[in-house]
Parts: sequence; C-alpha cells; structure tokens
Amino acid sequence: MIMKGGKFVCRKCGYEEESEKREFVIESKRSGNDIPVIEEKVETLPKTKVVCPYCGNTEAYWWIRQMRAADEPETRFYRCTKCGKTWREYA
Amino acid sequence: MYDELLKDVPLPKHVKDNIKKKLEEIKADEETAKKIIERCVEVYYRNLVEPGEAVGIVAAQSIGEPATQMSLPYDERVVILENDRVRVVEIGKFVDNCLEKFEFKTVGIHEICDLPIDVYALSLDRDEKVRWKRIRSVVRHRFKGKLIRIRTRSGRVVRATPFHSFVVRRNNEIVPIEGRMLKVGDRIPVVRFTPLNCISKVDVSQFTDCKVVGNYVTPTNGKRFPKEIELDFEAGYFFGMYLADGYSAKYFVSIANNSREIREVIKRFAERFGLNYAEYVNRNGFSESVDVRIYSKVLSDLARSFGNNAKDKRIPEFVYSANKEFVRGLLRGYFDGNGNSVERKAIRFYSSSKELIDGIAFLLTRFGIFGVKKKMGGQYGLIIYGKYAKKFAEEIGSFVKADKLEKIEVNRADIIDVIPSFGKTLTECAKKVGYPLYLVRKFERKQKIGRVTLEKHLNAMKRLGYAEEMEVLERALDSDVVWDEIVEIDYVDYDGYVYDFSVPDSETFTTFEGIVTHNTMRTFHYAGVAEINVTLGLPRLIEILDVRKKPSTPMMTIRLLPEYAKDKEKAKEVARRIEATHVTDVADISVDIYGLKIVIKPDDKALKEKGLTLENLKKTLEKKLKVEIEEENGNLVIQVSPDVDKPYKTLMDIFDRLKREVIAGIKEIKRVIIRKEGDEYVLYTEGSNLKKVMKVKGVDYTRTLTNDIYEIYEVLGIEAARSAIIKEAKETLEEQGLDVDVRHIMLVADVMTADGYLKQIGRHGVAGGKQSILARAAFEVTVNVLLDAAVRGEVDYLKGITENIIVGQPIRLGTGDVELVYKPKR
Repeated sequence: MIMKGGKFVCRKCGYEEESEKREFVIESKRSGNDIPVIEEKVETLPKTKVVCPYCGNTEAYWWIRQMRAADEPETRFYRCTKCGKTWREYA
Repeated sequence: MYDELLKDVPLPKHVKDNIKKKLEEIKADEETAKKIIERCVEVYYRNLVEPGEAVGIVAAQSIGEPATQMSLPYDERVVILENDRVRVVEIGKFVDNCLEKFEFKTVGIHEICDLPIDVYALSLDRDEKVRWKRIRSVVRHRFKGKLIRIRTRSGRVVRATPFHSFVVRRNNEIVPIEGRMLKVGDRIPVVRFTPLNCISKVDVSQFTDCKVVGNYVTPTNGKRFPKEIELDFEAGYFFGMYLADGYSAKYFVSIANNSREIREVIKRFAERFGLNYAEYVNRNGFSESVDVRIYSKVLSDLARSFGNNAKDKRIPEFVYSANKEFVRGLLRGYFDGNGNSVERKAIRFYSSSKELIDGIAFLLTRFGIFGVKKKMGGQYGLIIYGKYAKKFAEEIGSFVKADKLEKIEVNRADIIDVIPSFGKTLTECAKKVGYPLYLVRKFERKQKIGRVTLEKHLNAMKRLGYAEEMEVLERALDSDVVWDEIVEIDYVDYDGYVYDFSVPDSETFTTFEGIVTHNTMRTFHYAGVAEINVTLGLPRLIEILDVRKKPSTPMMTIRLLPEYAKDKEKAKEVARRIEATHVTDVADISVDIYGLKIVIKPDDKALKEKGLTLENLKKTLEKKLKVEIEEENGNLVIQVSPDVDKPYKTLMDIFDRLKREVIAGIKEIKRVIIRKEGDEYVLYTEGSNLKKVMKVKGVDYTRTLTNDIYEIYEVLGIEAARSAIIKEAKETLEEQGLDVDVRHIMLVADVMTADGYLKQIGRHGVAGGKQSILARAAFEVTVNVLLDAAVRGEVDYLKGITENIIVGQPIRLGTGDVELVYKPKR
C-alpha cells in the first residue's frame, strides 16, 4: 500500500483505506563528533631499569611475548624511554 | 576530670586534645573548665562554614581514569552561560536534566552525556586567565563514602570526591597535584575576575502574572509598566537599595533610607516610569526613619525576585548577566544602604541572607574585586580589604560614604592574595636589570610574595631595564585568580550521585561557590579510542615486499606549514577540510515513509566548520544523487513521487546513497586525529590519498608521508618509492626489536626498483623475472612455469645455481666455474 492523496492505496488492486497514522519517520541524528586532539603522551606500558644499548639511557618500557615453543622462555622486549629504540632479550 | 567534661562535647578530637592540654596547664577548676569549653564550642561553630556553603572560587583538578576523577555532590552550585544568560544552578539538577533530555551512554559506573546544546562554563586556563568555555559533556556516577572538604583562608569551601588532584602553582606553571599530597598551607586558585557578555534589558513580564498589552505590562488596577526595562546604573542603584533596606508589598515597594539625597534617586527612578510615590516617617524603631513607597504592582513583583525580607534577600539570575553599569549601580546601592560600612580600613557587608552575600561576592568578581567571607553569629559577612577596597572605591564608589572610602589605605600586608612558587624568576630578573638583590631575596626564600609587593618591585625593575622573566612575573601579576591558602582539610559523609563537567582544553570549570574543577577524563578516552590501528610485524613486511597496491591499513602522517602547525584551531581547520564528510556529519536526516520524502536538517555550525553552505550542499547532493532537491526554510527536502515504479525502494535507495555520499573532504581519508608533537600539531589519518592531501592548503607537502608505497611511486616517482620501501621495512623491523643492517634492506629495495617500476619479491616480480626456467619452476607453481616455457620453446642454459643443482652438475662458481677442454695431440 502506498500513500496517495492522504489515503493508502493498494498498488495491485487499487483498494483504498483511510489512514490514521499519518507519519512514519526514520530519524538519523547528526553524529557531531569533532576531531580529537591529543595533547600529551599517555604512557600505557610499564617501565623498568635497564641500560639502552643504543643511547645508554637507564630506563625502558617493557613487554613480553611468547614467541616460539611453549618450552622456551618468552622474549622480553624493551623500548627506551628516551630514544624510542626497541630491542629484545632472549633466554 | 577534663576527659569527663569533654566527652560529649561536639568538637573534633584534635581540638579537644588542645583544650585538654590547655586546661591541664592552667589547672582550671570544674566551673572554669566548663565555661572555657562552652566558649570554645561557641567560637568553633561561629567560625565554621557550613557544608555546601556558597563561597568563592577554588580550582581543583583530576587526572587519569574516570574512577579517579573529581566530582561534586548534587547541591554544589555552578555558574554556567546558556543563551548568553548566566545561570546559577545546582550541578546535580542540571546534569540530571541533561541526562533525561538528551542521549547518554554508560561507561563503567559513569553516565556520560555529550551535550548537543551550547552551554559554557567558567574555565581557568594555563595562562591563569578565566574564560568561558563550552561544556562538552556532563557526567554523573554514584558515590558512597567520604567527601574531602577544603576550607581556605578567605572562607571559601569546596567539597569533592576524595580521589582527585588539585591544581597548584609550581615554578610559574599551573600543575596538578594529588589530593592526598595537598596539605594545610598549600595554595589553590580562587577566581577574582569574571568575564561576561552582557544584557542591557530585562523582560519584566516573566516576574509578574499581569497581562502584557503591546509593549506594556498592565495590572488590573494601577499604572501600566514597560514590558522591558533598561538595565542602567540608576535601575541597578534602585535594586541595590532595595536589597539593603527594602520590602515589597502587594501593590507597592518600600525602601527605607534616611538620606534625602538617596531618596531623591529612588524618586527619580519612579518618575521615569510615571509611577506615584510617597514618603512615610516611621517612628516604630529606635529612631525615626523615612520610607519611600512606590506604587506599582509590576515593580513590586519584579522586586520580589530579589527576595522580600532580610533573610531571603538574593540576587536573581538575570543580574549575573546584566551589564556592568547596572551591576555597578546595584553594588553601590547596596553599599549605600544601612548596615554596610567602612570600618578599620576595610569594607564590610553584613546580611542575614547567605545567598545574598554569595551573590554579592560573585558580582564583585566582575570588577576584579575579591572579598573574604566570614560568618559572625547569625550574620553573614563579606569583607573587602586593602587594595580590593581601594578598587571598590574606584569602580563602585558611594553617594553617601565616599569620604570614608577615600580614607582606605592599601599598604596593609595582604596575607590572602599572595603569589606562590615563582622559583628563581624574581632574583634572576633582578640580577639582569641590576636591581638590589637584598630587596627580593627574602621572597625567593619564602616562595611567596603579595600581589601588591610584586607589582611595586616589578615596576621598579622595569624602570631599570628589560628581562624576559618580567613577562612571567607579569602574567602572574595579571592572573584572574587569587592563590588562596588552605586552612583546613576534613572529610564529610556522602551517599548519592556525584557530578562532573567535561570542558575542552583546560578541562576546568567554576562553581558558584566558586570551584574551578579540572577533569581530563576525555583525554584518557582518546588514549584508547583515538589510536589509529596500523598493521605491523610480519604481515606488514610481507605487504611491503609484495608491493600490494593498497596496504591493509593505509595511513598518513601530515605535517603542516609553520603558520598552521603551531595553532590548534588552524590545525583542526585543516583536518576538517581533509576528513571525508558525510551528510550525517553535518545534518540530521529524517525519512518520512508515508510522505515519501527525505528531510535533511543541516546544522549551521557544523556546515560552517566544514566550509560548506546550504547552497553548495544542495548542489553537491543533486549532482551526486541525481535527484531534485527543494529548499524549505533552511532544510533540504527530497520528494519521491508516488507514481514511480517501486516508490519505497526508490526512497530507501536514495536514503542509503545519501548516507554514504561524501560531500566534502577527501573520500579516502576516513578519520583524522591530531597529535601534539613537540610544539607542533601533526595530523594522523586513517586512509590515504597523497595526491589530494598534498594540494590541501596549509599542508606542508615536503614533510607529509603515507605508508602506501605504491601511491608514493605514482605521485613522487621511483626514487621516492625506493626510500619509502627502505624506511617502511626498517621501521617495521625495528618496531619488533630486530636489528637488521640497513644495507640488506637497501639491496632488496634496489632490486625491487631497479627497472624503474615497482617489482615485488615473488613470482610476479623479481623471482618471476629469472632467466632460467628450472630456477623459476623450483620456486612456485612448477607445472605452470614448465608448461609456459615449453609452449614458448624456451631454452635453459644452466648458468645459474638452482638449475645446476637440479640437474646434478657442479654450480658455476669457484672451481665449478673453470672449464677445461682437452685436445689430445695426434
């Protein structure tokens, strides 16, 4: 049924019916997101004392990952807090 | 004995301990002890400020996780600016209302509502200036436990949830400090100046039930009154007088004052509106007093918004946004009234209405005048000392007490308005201009200096020369806040919702009591949400070596030209021009299914931000959707005719396409975030289109990167692509903590680019280009390689390594490279 002149009309047979509900509206609201500005660096990784082989700084972020077989120790990753270089420590 | 006496006394333990010690010291007998204790209780409670009392403006800050942020209890009142009107509302009421009216989301225990309306809060910036900033969102959550309560020397109180930090001044910077690190003696900022947009007229009809006829409000009997009255000095003075000594009856307003001069001002105000008035001599009190009555129902209704008797006198909301002249008049009127005085070099206001004193204190900040609140018995007091009293004399003045105002002296040592923690700036500055160090050294040792003293020394130094430290000191001198000393910290029980505002940039907002709170919760949010997800590790390395046409996560790093890079707003402007904009970003869309029409309701502000107008939005959409669009009072309407074949499908198709269509910006750039790196703002994008981005105004194309190597090859050529391969591969490996010598990578990059176009390492590129059939067959898709070679009739000369191993011959290297041909002699 489609709306024609304030009435519902069947498109196949032409049957007409008065409509009570005059409006059926789908609303789509404006998202209104503005562009995010990140002003300061948020540190999410833990830090530890270790000497950076590249710059000699004594502090680095660290995380560990199980790289290979389960009977091998996980690999330790470090990222220097100063120069940002990453290195690994096996075994 | 003393323990027994003190047992049920309602005082904190440390006070009791003190009293006990003193009593033991003087060996008081029971009678005396009782008297002393009684007196102590009396004094203690008289000096106590009630919980939630509206006082000055104290700044606090919170940082980090939502759970640790500063929130305020329901009944703390805040100052907001809505539709150019200042409103003073309970934070709880305001936030609850917003959450009810607008959509909100729940994050953990927090209910957050991003405000779709423009409401502003008073915000303290890093430069110690107070500005109105739009409130981005409001937050509430349940809280049961103890609230921290901080009282400052000037009598201001702030209550907040305990897990928060405050802002303090450290080495000329405003920095956050954890709440638990805060101690008595620290100084927190209290606002002393309020900037304001002003209204110059007030609509009287909202205060009365009388009928409005044309431009007049007409009561059933009595004289008509203009619907709008001008808020000028005289009107302000009248209401100020009313606040001091007036009351409003049903049909008249009465103001008592013994000065003929002042009564004349009141009469003049009445004459302005053609109202009748009369004087009455009142002999009921201790002495004669004279009342002026103005007969007008409307005026009396209006006056009632200022309260009716001494206890409920208050400042109605419209006054907070009224223009300066009106406020000046009001303050002078109130000061000229009976009961307020100049005593002992200070201006003193007294009232039995706490609300009135709070209101007066807030209005005074409009003129940069800072007062100290005190509770005296049943009276509430506001005392203006020293240089602020002087300022009062200059800015506000008086008709009848002018002579007394003149006598106020400034040289009183100001213990409240002191600038703390300025580091070595003062002595450094003195050294540079050759100012005697012994004059300033003691301030450096104490790390505090009175504002007036600082001004004196600074001016003296300025006459000697210039040092860059002067600018820092000047900023401190010129700040909109007073660094108020904490005199007491304690805890109060609370159970219920606590509330918070999120204000961009400085994240601070002000309460009417005067708290500027700080909240960085949204920054926390960005840390997770606004990250751009980039493919890393092995998958990325494969992508690089395979020369994929599109990386799985295309990404750009866009640097800006100097004039754009330093300014956040300008950087945002560029970002908005780059980011793909859909219709849903700038407009609400509603689809009327029965009416077969789509209505696009654009938001003017959003359009402007994206550099669009209604006109060109209409044109763009018409071109892209190939439909006709009507403009109807600011909205765009797409009407589908009911006569077309499948009208609903057509309608929904248009709706879907409408939502997908990019109307501005660069289609490929799906999202932009801005990150501050050093002193410049850098744009990071999800999606990449180097060619178009390079042309955008404000973009420094010499420092703009993409991780799409093929795009670099197309736009900048093969040498640039080679550099990009090296850079991307090296970075990918380094990110994984793998240290591969750059020469290996350079070799690979050279092989890939040597022919002048990008060639992958693989059967479609480098490996597939080998001359030997067997070597190619050994690598991948053996059968296909052999078949193709057979079809083409290729010959393998067995010169390489792989093919020689396959056929079982020595490879042609080293000893294998030597061929001997033996020719026997006949």
